[in-house]
Amino acid sequence: MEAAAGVEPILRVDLLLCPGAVASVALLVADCCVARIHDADASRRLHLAAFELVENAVKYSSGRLARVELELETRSDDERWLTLRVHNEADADRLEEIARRFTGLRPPSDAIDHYDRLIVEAASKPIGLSGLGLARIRAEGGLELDCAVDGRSLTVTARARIRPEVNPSILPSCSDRKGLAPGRPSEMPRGAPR
Amino acid sequence: MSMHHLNVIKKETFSLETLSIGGRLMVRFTGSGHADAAPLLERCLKGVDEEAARLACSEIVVDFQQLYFMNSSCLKAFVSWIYRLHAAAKPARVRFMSNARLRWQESSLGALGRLAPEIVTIEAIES
Repeated sequence: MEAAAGVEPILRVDLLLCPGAVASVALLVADCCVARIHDADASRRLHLAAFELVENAVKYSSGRLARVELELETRSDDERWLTLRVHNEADADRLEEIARRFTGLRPPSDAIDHYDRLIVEAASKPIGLSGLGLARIRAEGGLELDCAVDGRSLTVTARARIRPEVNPSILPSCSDRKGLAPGRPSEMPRGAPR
Repeated sequence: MSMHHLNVIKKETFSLETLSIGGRLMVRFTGSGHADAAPLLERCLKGVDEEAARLACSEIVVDFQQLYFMNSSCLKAFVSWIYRLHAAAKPARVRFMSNARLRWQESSLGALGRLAPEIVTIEAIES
């Protein structure tokens, strides 16, 4: 039976932006990926994306709140995507900076070449300013990135295609499960420092 | 073989140790490298530069085997460090010991390897 096309929300979190929230939200996103689709690789990639995007929101948001959403999109039996969205407010300078960064992140620029070029530039930047986060999500995580601006509202989207051999339609949904799946996507043993 | 701790930083979420083992230098980074770790890591690696020069080290080992994740600010600290080492007249080699189970390390260390393939090697340890 062919899977029904559509979008299934997996997670929506409204959070107060503080440095301590970054690792927790990233692990929550990763755990939800494992619980819903049992794909540790996709989970690892989404963990990286969530970490970097929420950290950017903490560093650069002009507001105190952000929303993180994760959803599973089914286009056909062979094509499924996980989409992570981080919404927050930003001032005009930040929105301009984001637009500039996304120019380099979009095709036809090659993900690895672009990342390697930014790494060389990062070598001489001061502490705390790497400028690598978005390019890292694209190159190391293999995710597609996009952004949308509405007034002062910024939404950054990261999307990962799920391997065809992982079929979420035969797996229980998050809400059907009592606990999180074994084997953390970030490969972090429970009890390890976060 | 004698082992001396040259520098130890222990925080709630990570620790950084610089060790001298039989005249060789090792940096052990464990836990999770978040934003708060980056400035301390940068300072630690500057200290490693000085020790490497003092001991005339030809190789520095960086142990990531128990590093569960690091953000791009910590990655950037390693980028600056490798760039600095690479620019030296007689650069020390850097050997990263990675954990083969921690898949993010392969891609992040791969990026560091591409930055300076002449001096960076990566050894994936199966645990």
